[in-house]
Amino acid sequence: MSNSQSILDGIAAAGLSHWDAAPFLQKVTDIAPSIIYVFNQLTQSNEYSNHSLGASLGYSTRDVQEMGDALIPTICHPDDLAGVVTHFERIRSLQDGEVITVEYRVRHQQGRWVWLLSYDTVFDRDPDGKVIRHIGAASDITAQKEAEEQAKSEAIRAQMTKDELCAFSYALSHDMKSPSNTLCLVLTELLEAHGPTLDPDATQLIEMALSTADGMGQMLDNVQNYTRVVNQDTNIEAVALTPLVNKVISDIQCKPPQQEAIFYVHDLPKVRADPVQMVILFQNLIANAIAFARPGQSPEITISALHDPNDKQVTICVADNGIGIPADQHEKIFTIFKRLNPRSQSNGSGLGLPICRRIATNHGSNISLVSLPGQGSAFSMGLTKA
Amino acid sequence: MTTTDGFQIENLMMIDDSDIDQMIYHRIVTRSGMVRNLIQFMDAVEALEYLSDAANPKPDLILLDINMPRMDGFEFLEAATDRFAQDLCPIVVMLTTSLNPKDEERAKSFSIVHDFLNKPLTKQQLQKLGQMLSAAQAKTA
Repeated sequence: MSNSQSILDGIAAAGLSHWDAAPFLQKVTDIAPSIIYVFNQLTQSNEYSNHSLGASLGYSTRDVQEMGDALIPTICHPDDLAGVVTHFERIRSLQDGEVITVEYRVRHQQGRWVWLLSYDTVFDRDPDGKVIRHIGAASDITAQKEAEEQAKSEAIRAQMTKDELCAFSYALSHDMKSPSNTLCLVLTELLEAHGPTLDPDATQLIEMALSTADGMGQMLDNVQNYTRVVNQDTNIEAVALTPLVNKVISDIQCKPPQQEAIFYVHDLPKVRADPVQMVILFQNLIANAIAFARPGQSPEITISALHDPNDKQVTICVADNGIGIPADQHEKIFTIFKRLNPRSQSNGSGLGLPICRRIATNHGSNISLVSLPGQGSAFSMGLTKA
Repeated sequence: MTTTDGFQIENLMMIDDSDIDQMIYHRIVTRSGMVRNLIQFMDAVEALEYLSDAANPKPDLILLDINMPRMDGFEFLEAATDRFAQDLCPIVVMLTTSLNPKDEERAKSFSIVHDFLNKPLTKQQLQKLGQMLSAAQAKTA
């Protein structure tokens, strides 16, 4: 280390004059993988190059001579020729020391295209300052270009796959919703029309079928909501939360089976949010609170806002008196299709809270959870006041 | 103008391509005792032809499905608006999924669309529709 350092120091002190410059430069240009050339702008031809451009591209000296000053127009890719011509023109107006680059394709003698990257700068000028020659170094960047192209086409393919999957799950959930509706309709009618004549066992079986079909319908709604929330743009506008939350609650109360949940809706502010996503958010948080009520106890759900008078932010909180969630499970409940409880104890789809988290992310926020097992849970999310 | 014999809805038209759904609608409606006449169409084009014939009794309310072959709910709304202008009873659109803002927005742009309901149709929804219609008719009377 110290030895090589002292050699370098010696070279620096002595300068190149220590060696004969010509053989030194000869060795440097021989070993450089790039093609280094000096191009005469007046004669439009190469006056020097370390390796023959023609030879590197598989052309014989005779081929190159025959092409003459038509070399570049002949072997350059037609789509890149204009860029190369412009580049040559730009060199004529460069300041000393200024370097410009150009990427272009040239045809190898065997027909394949080779990508080159050229660095060019002024070599010398006439007494009027007009550029006579420029010096440049061209490197083969085909491998890099091919990797870039491949990465680009793979990104496009990945995006297409994602779009198709989203469209597929949307269409599938939509198309399956219709038969699930019909199934609920038929089972409800069976109970309505023949309930009195059925024995309790048959009634119970039909009720089980009905609640299964209803659960399937809710799941399909959630799959659809998820694809919508993941895939669509968030359209932020001023949203009055109090009427929105009241509408969500009245829709839930209208829907059989009748919920005996008790709601406390505090005065909620106007916020900057996507109204459709806000509806989905409150639907899911309230459905979650109802699904995880303590057995034998009516769910009590409080929706409130925590204001900071000095801040544009407001924290919206949905709290319940349900079974609560142990601290070590808090992260799990936001994971797609993860359910903490067996299906017999609750009928969540495993998508509700991941949807809520995604909605929070779409609004530049996140959802936090405070919960005590046996006492209840509170989900909160920050939003900007309108 | 609730009729004296207790029918809240004189003529109810239902347009839905599912034969099972139509059969159940018929049963729900009959059992409710709220409707004197139920006019059912599984094809929106035929419903449109029915409405064009002045000899046919006019419906007081139309329940319209969206996803249908041949002519879907939106095409029906366009054709009905073109042909009858505002001279048509309220239409309530039935949506397949509980939250379909795009469909809802598109349907809202038609002034003859009065409301939406989410499938499946229930007895409670029918009762609500009856109340809505009575209220609307009391206003115009």
